This record gives sequence, structure tokens and C-alpha cells, in this order.
Amino acid sequence: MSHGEIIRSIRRWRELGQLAQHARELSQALGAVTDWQTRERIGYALRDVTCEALGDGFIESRLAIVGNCTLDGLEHLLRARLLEPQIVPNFYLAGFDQYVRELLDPASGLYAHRATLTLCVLDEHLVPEVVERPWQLDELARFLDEKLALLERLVASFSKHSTGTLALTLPLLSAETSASVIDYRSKAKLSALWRGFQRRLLELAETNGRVLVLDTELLLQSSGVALRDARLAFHGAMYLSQSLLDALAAELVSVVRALSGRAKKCLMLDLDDTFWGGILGEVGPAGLELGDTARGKAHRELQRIAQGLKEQGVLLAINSKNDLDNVRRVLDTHPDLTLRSGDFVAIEANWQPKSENTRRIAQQLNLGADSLVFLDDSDFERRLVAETVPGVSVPTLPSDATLYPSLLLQGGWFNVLSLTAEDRERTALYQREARRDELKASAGSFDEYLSALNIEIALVTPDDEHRLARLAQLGQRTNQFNLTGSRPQAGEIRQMLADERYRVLCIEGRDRFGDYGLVGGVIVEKRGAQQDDWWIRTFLLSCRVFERSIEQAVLRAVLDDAQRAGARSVHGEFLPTKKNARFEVFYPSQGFSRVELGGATQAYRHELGSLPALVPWINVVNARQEVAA
Amino acid sequence: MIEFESVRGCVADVLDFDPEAVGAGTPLPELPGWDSVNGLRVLNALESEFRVRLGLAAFSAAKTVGELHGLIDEGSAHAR
Repeated sequence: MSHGEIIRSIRRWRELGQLAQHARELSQALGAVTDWQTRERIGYALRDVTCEALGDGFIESRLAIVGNCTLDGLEHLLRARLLEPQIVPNFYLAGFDQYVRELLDPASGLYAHRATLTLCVLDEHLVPEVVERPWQLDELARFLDEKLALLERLVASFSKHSTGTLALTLPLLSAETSASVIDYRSKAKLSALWRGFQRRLLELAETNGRVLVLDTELLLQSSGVALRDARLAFHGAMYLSQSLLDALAAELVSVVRALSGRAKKCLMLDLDDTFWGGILGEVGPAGLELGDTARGKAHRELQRIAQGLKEQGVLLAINSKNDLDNVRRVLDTHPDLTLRSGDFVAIEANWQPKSENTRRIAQQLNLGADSLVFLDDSDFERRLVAETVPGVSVPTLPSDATLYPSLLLQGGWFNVLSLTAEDRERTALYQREARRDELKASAGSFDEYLSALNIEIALVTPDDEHRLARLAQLGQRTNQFNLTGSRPQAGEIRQMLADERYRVLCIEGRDRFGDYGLVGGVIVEKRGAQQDDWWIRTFLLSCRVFERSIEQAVLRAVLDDAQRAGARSVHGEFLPTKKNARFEVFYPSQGFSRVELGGATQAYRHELGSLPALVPWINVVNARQEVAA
Repeated sequence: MIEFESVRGCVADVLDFDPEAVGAGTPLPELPGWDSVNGLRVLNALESEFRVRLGLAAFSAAKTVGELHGLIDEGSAHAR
């Protein structure tokens, strides 16, 4: 389809109310768009689109855009890019140059919007003195200091009045501003002053967990991206070009994906001519290209990137048409490989269709197919997987292998807001899982297996930064056992911890094979004047520890707690999402009865008369008991 | 020679309306969604689609879709 045809099809689907029927074509078409002009027009054509119009699978994300310059177009570019991973933005757009007022005023429209992500786009005009009189260097340091102090106040205000995340873009010094200074010493000084300002801005992200600073400078390295279109800069203060706003939108997709639980978790690699150069079955281990040649170096680089992803918590899997024994031998003995079989959580090397292998890998890792990115040099295999396993992201690889490494990274598929200790251990955690599977296979029955695991669960208050960060991250990652679809951010959790009406508990666990780490969370709100009507607002459990009745054991502990505290009842809620359907019966299965409240959220009540049975193979240690001990 | 229909089609794509609904004599302010922001979007789109530089003054002086077409045809003749 040509770009004009794509736009006209979308318009037709919209007019006929058929966007939902064509949702997959829409996603694919958006993925195929390569120029920002088309993207912007599609985003504009879909400016009023809602989740309902697009149907199942789409989720809404509340976003806000503020800044010191005109940002027309960013909204449409971002919408078109977000719709590809099925995220529908609900925007708040602040007026021109309103960022200071919006961020300082607790009653601003910005805060009323309750955005998950607030984007503050800044350019050099935020310090007008720098643009107007850059040659007066003596005064500039003071103006920059003042501006930084203001930005610090804005960030502090944001932390106080919003529970979301703030992304600041790094303002760049334009070539025009530098060129208006004619002596080279002063030019260098101006650059140094500006870089100092930028560095201190970047450091805001180190000291405040709620703030991200996006390095706009790097976006200028993409082809066809310019800082500014001079004519439009005079016209309505459009200081940043549409090409740069489009590159910024691409970066923001990764941020929004991470905040919406849609970051990718597993990189699934083909081997022949993708992971290594050459076809193993034809050239043998010694014939593989893994060094010397430009092509060999590119494959090596791809492996280094994969290893880096693995060390940062991304799971690696192999999906290849090869003999398993050959593959294992090469992975374990080839002198030029740095990744070994132990670095992969799943290896499917066989002669079955790659679509089936993909399903098996997703199932084995207990992940949705939409958590996978599949890299394969073969157009046939890519189409097969993309078309038969919906959700898998399958970037189109060019024929030139030297482009693979940058192509893998530029999608920002796996980006997260911040890493935690669990991330670095993730591959090991999944491998322990494989050993549990072996025990399961050898045990006489499933119950015997569970008893043999010696599971211990601890419910712990997240009163340290590590647990707090991990709990927030788990909210962003967890889609299946997330009973209310809730994704509390660190700031919200901190507020609830300080509020006696809330009880926030992390679920940590271990068994004979090792630590699970922090695998879940429960947030209870104690309602009523006596605080004796408990409501479970958030209940999360990592899919890594499913099938062990840990959720039952935790719920039993919460009910037990409520009973001891003299509560009248405990309410649980279930809000159906695309992925949590299998847990719809969870509360009813635990002795809760349905309460009709209306709305999409189903409410259930337990009167605490008789508690559900203990889970015999799990030993639960409560935070309070831990403190007492 | 650039056809009127292709200029109209480009404007229609950008402003999201049915191209058949407007003619060469339709005044620009009567186009759906026409305002200063959308005017710039149209300018951007026409320039990149037809590889011409229109100049803000000439663009602002155009009153109808037909006049826009004339500007682009002229600009592209110069470019050739």
C-alpha cells in the first residue's frame, strides 16, 4: 500500500466504524510507515480515536505535553507511533510556553489530567538571554543558574502534585546561537556553559526517581533529523523541527511501553545468518563467520548486544531450524562465541515450524507472545511468525548483516525506567525454573512436587528504596495476575506507605532451588470510620511463580490479618483486562461472594466467618511476625 | 506540469477530508480544519510532496485551492 492509500483506508475504516475489524492491518501499516509526514497525517486522521473504537487489545495511556515552544504535530506523531503497539494516548496539551505555570500550580489542568507520563519539551529559548545575547558571557552563567533553580522547583512541584513520571527533554544549543558569537574563545566558553547546564539537568534524573531526562542530542544522529526548520521557527515559535519531534516520539514509545507493561521481555533469535554468519548444517562449526570479515564482525556485535541485554534482564531464546545436538555443541565449544547455552532460557532447535516453536517458548517462559521480539534474516520465517502468532514483534531485517546490530537496538524494545537487582538475575531465575520442571517430571504427583519444593513466602513492607522500586516495576511488567490492571508508580506507593489507611505488602519467596526475589504485591485500603472494611486495591503476582497457589496463600494471610485486626469484611476487585481473564474466578474460588456495584470492575466480599483452607505446601511468614522475631 | 487533483489530494490527506468535496475555487478558510496550525501542516506537506520551496509570503497570499496549485506548479517548473 502506498502512503496515500494507507491514509485513505484508515479514513474509510473510521467512517464506516470498522477500525476494530482492521486493527491488525492498522498496526502493520503503521509499522511500515517510514516518513514522519505520513505518520503525522495518520495521527491526525485518528485524532479522536478511542480504545472502544479500536476494540480488544488496545489500552489507554494518559499523557501530557508541556513545553516552552510550539509543539504542534508531536501529538499526532506520537499517536501514530503508539497505536502500533496498541496503545491509545489520551492527551493533555498545555498552551504555548505554559510549562512553568502548569507545573507549579497544583490546580493546573496538567495535574487534573493525572497523566502517567508528562513530557516537558524544552529548547534553548527557555533561557532567552542565551539566544538574544550569547556574546555577553559574563551574565549568562547567572541566567543559567537561575533557570536551573526554576527547573528544580518545577520538578519538586511535580513530585508533590503528580503521581506519574516526568520526562524532560535536554535543551540543545543551536548552531545559529553559536554562530552569532564571532570569537572562538567565547564560542568555546558558550558551549562549555551550556554543556554545564545540560549536565546539571541530566543529574536531576539521578536525584529524583520520578524524573527522566531524554538526551535529545542523540536523536540528531538519526538520518534526516534536523534541530530546526528556520522558517517555521519564525512562524509561531516552532523551534524544533517535525523530524526531531518524530524522533522524540519514537523514544517516547519505549517510555510509554515501559510504563504500560508493554515493554518486551524476551529476544528470540534465529541462528543461521542471524546470530552467526553461515548455515551450520552446510558449513559446519569451523565455517561459521564470527570474526575477521565485516559480516562476521557484525554477527559478533549482535551477540555482544544480546549479551548486554541479557545482563540487563532481557531473556534470550533460540528459535532455529537445526539439529539440537549440533547447536548445543557449537554453543558450548565454539571458541569465537561469547554466549553459551546457559545464557539462553529456551532453545528450540528443530525442524518444526518456527511459529510452533514461538508458541512453545512463550508457554515455557509463561509470557504472552507480545513480550517477544523475533530476529530472523528470512522473510519467510518472519512472515510466518508475525502472521500466525499475533503480538510477536518481528522487525524487518535488511539483507546486509552489518545493519542488524543497530536495527536491534533502535527499536528500544526492552527499555525500562530503571533496573533493579532482580533484572540482572533474571536468566538465573528462569533457569532455576527449568530445574523445578525436572523435579515436577520426576515427582509422583503435582502435590508431591509442590511439597518437595519447600516454598516459603514472606510478606514484607517495602520500606526501603530497592523494594519500592521493584514493586513499582513489577506493576509495570505484570499483566496476567494483575487483578485490577493497576500499575502504582513509586510515588503513589510512597504516599500509601505514609498513610495509615493503607497496607502495602511485597510478596517475596524462596524454595529449595533458591530465591524467587520480590514476585508480587498486595495493597489494601482500610475503609470506613473504624478502618474495618478492607479493600484489596492491587494484587500482583509474577507469572514466573504461577501454578503453586502462592496467590491463595497470600490471600489467606491477608484474610487472617484482617480477622486478627477485627475487620468486618475484606473486599477484592477484578477489572477484566486483555490478559487477566484466567483469574476472573480467583475471588469466588476463595469463598468471596459477588457484590453488585455497577461499572466494569467486579467486586467480591469475604465476611471473615470461616477462612479458606491453608495451602499445605506453603509456609507464609508475615511482616509483623518477622518484625516480632 | 502538476495536476490540480494531486495538489487537492495532498491537501485533503493532510486536513482529513474527501477531496471530491472541494474545487479549485474553494477558499482556503472554508477547508475543514483550516487554521494557522493546519496551514503550516499543509505548507510542509506540499513542499515535501512536490519538492518545492513555496515561501511563507507567497503561501499566505494564496486564497483558494486553485491558487495553491498554481503556486506549486510554478515552483516546480522553476525547480525543473
